[in-house]
Amino acid sequence: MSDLVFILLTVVFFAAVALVARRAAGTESSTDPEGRRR
Amino acid sequence: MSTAVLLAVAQVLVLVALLAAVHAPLGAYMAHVYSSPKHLRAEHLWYRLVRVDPDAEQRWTTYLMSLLGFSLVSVLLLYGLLRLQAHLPWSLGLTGFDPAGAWSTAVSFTTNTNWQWYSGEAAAGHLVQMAGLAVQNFVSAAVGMAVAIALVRGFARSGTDTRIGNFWCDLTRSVTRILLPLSLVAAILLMAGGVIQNLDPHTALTTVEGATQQSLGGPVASQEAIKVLGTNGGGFFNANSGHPLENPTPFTNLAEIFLLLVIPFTLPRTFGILVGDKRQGWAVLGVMGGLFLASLVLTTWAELAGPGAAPQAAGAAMEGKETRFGLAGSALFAVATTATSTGAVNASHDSFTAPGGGLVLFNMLLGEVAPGGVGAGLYGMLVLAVVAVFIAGLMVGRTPEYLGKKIGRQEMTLVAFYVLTVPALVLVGTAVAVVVEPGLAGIQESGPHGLSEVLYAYASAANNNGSAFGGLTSGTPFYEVTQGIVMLAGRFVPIALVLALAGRLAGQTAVPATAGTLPTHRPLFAGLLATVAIIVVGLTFIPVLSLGPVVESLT
Repeated sequence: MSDLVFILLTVVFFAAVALVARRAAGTESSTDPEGRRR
Repeated sequence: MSTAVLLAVAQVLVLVALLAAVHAPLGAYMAHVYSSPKHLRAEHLWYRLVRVDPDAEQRWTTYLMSLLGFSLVSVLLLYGLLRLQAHLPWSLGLTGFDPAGAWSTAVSFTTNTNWQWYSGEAAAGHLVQMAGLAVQNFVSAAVGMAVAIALVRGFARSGTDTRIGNFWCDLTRSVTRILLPLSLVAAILLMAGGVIQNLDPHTALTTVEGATQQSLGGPVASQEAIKVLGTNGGGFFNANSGHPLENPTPFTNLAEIFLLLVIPFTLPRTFGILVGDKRQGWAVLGVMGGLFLASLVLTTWAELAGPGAAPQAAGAAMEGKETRFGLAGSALFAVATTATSTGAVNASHDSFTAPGGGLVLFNMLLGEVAPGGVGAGLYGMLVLAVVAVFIAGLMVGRTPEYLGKKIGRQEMTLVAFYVLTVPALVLVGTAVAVVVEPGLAGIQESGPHGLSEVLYAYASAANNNGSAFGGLTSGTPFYEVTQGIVMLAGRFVPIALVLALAGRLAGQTAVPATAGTLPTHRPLFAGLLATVAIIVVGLTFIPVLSLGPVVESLT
């Protein structure tokens, strides 16, 4: 496997974690501490 | 009482005395480091270089993005260094790593795992060791400490709009004020004990018998210090801490064990100080210490009672153990390295008795919380404390609270994902490896021992431990890639969940304790916490442990 494959694999992994975290944070900001949607 | 038992007890007593002596001052010092508003001049230079404002408080998402960005760059830089080794100075004539091997190693050191498919003295030159692997030994440990402190702030702060500190500040201070000074002292101590420290190349010598022998050189003491202090574990030499130039005497052996336990066992003190109640730190420390001692006693007993004519003649199962350290030094090191996320070894874990090997494996499967890796152990134990208060709340009908913070549905969702992530990685990784051809090709033993080898490898990768059971050929593209993915997910998914939890907790307004609040500093809660730690693991891993070490013990 080439260098590009491993570089892409790394970038995709970190991007995926960041994306999921941002989406979760977006959901979180619209709920109260008990988890109900505002 | 046999000599081996006496030595084991004496060694533990010395170790406990040393850890107790530094517990309060180092714990207080670390609390000061993470709460001081002042920056050192050198730190200012670094902040200017990376263009960050160290005084800006970050929300958990910004904290996480900073951490992910830093780690991504770390992986790519180390990957480049390993691939280009042949063109760089101090390469000792060694070639660059192949792409899969370089990626596995870069991921391994960035995630604080330090799994090594290669032989250090045969594959890594001095520049790669110093500018690549040693740098990651420092910063990957600092990342773990930063996350732990961010979670502690989540408990300690009240209504801060999810702001949990500044990642760059926590990372930098962990390195400059804690890891670097302690490593310097530790390296000098190890050099005094006989660990080598030079920039010599490996030199071929002719022995008196006329044979040729390689005289190995390198900056070993400096690497060794942070290897154990940062619970990293990647050895300069292939034999790791079993190598006489890396760990020459029983004195250096005990010093290395002390170094790999000192920060994880001291962070509960820092936690207690930062949340304003030292008793909370004592409770966490008590659980960590209790689980550690239980594992140590059982492992030492298992190795002393090794079945077979040879172990009985030798007084213990001595295959694969260094006679320089004896049984006590090997068992204590094995438990310390797997109960933290270190992964350094001074004996072959593959040669431990079936129950002894199963116990060191169980230490990792426990999530490495007793006491765990630097930072990772503390945040792992605090997550389990949240599970414990939730279960206690369900049992007695109280609203779950920990340190004044209500544990609601969203907090428990994050905690549930945290608790499930690593077991899923371990079990799925193992399952895939034992059914596909490239995975089976790497297994050298048949039957339950072969399963234990694979299970150990994925448990080590997912928990970012890095020790190898042995007997598994992991230097193949299949294991390098699958273990790399498991290492990344086992490190950064739990970190993301912990920071999200920290943010939610920091955003809450703390509620004062009432007569209905469950006291979390008493032995009752400590007992519940220890039980939760064991049961959460037990329920998840009992089937696979039954097919591996348990079956092997019975045959």
